[in-house]
Amino acid sequence: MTEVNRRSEIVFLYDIKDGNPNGDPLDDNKPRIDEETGINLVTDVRFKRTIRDHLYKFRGKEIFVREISDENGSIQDAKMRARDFLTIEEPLDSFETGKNNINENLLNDCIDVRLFGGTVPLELKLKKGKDTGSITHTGPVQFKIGRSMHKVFIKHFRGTGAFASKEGASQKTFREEDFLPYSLISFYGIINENAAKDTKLSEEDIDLLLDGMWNGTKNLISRSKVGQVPRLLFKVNYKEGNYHIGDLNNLFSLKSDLIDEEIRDISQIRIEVQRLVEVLGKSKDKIENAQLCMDGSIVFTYGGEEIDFEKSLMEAGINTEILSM
Amino acid sequence: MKVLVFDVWGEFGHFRKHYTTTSPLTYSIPPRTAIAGMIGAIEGFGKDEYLQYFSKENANIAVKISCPIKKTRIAENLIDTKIAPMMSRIKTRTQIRFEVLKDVKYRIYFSHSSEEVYNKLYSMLKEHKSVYTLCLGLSEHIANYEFIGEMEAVSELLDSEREIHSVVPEKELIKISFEEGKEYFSETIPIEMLPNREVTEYGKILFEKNAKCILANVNNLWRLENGEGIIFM
Repeated sequence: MTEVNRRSEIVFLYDIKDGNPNGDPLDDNKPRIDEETGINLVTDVRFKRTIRDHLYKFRGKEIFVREISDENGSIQDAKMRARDFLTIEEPLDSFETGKNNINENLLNDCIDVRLFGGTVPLELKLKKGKDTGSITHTGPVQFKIGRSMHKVFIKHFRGTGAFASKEGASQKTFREEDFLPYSLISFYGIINENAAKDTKLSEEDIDLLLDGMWNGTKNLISRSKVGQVPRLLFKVNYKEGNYHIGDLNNLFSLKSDLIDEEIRDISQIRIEVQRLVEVLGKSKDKIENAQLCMDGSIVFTYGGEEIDFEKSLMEAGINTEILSM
Repeated sequence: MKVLVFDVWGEFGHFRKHYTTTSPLTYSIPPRTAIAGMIGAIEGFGKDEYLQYFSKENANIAVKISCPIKKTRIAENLIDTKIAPMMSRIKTRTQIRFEVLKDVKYRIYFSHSSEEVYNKLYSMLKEHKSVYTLCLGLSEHIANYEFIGEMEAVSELLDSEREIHSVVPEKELIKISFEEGKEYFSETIPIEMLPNREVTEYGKILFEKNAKCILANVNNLWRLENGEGIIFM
């Protein structure tokens, strides 16, 4: 296990075609739109759900915050208490002993607590009565709310449902829904090396995080998310302690010959990186390297000229490493 | 008096009003206690200890609204913790509408009786460093900041109306001149909190919503070398 001992900033771009990247539960599950700007929003909790589900279902990792999916599998879960992470016998000598034991097991077992933090309510039997309290960890990995890099168009569909609305009705019900024909979404996150010590976050966990971001997004095969494709994962690792540039997501800008709402495919856009490369270049002494993974469909430009993104980073004095997912 | 000045901003922010639980509403400005948390995050004070460094006696904190206050709502599907075992095994969800601030930017002014606390912040700001991730009220509302500089602040006499750029604590207010084209609001925010998170003082704060200055007669006004008039909360 390698401890995380450097700060990192992450930018992750993915797109969706004819889908709904994140429904608003209080607005008929429509895609979330910032009405003032026409920008599509995806909450950080949706994104973390994607990562958690991938690590749990496909990588066999224990996660703390998860859905109880079926009745049979959930018996253990439903009874589960924070105490189940307790490996010493109750009643305990002191509350602290139990809390520390649960905390240690929780951090050892659950990758999502190490990454994103968590809160666990405790109620422990002590030799003298019982006591309550909680364990709280702030996640070393934090993501902002994701946003599309362009204004989006919302398509309203009406269709015929597969079922009748009630028993005895002879006609099938109508259904309505809202889709986005296209949205290229950018997520921004920070990995904080100081908070990482608190949750014992390791570099192996970070590898799994990136795997969850990339492959979790790709493998999320539900009806509304089947069109999701990861396009770019960009991670800047700093060697200067306690330092990061900030707002790296805003240094990528989208260019297209079409008006925003008419964009329907990744081939119709270009990503301009001149400001990003310049800003990174200025801080190159503080940067250890930049890791990147690209699906090959994005065209990058520098001042309007098509370029090789990796090459232009290297020319600016940034060491690069290509990640394979 | 020397004052450290820096701008913080982010896309969203949420400073929850203490009396709202399942329909969380946000203050329009970061309360003094939240600014203490931000400075604590930059300097690297832990969650449990930072408040002890920022009592009113020791720390002077003022804030200016730099972008017009805009609020919107974001609905989230949260875990229904009433029936979720361990508050984490999700059986059902509950929909909560968060009121959030949008396109948020504030200018923060800070001075401190302890040279150590002051100088630590100064050196972190100068190098654009922060120990923990800076956020605007909630961890997902990640913030960035820019150091504006260390400035000399001079106490200004209260003989006449003055331009005030920071938010105005009502208890320092003698008389205000309401001007056309400005929108005045007031909110009661937490001013001081003990390390166990018990709020010991709330204060009424007056502000102009569109980031314009306020014309008023006040006590304890400080004028910075860049012309900004500020009152500490």
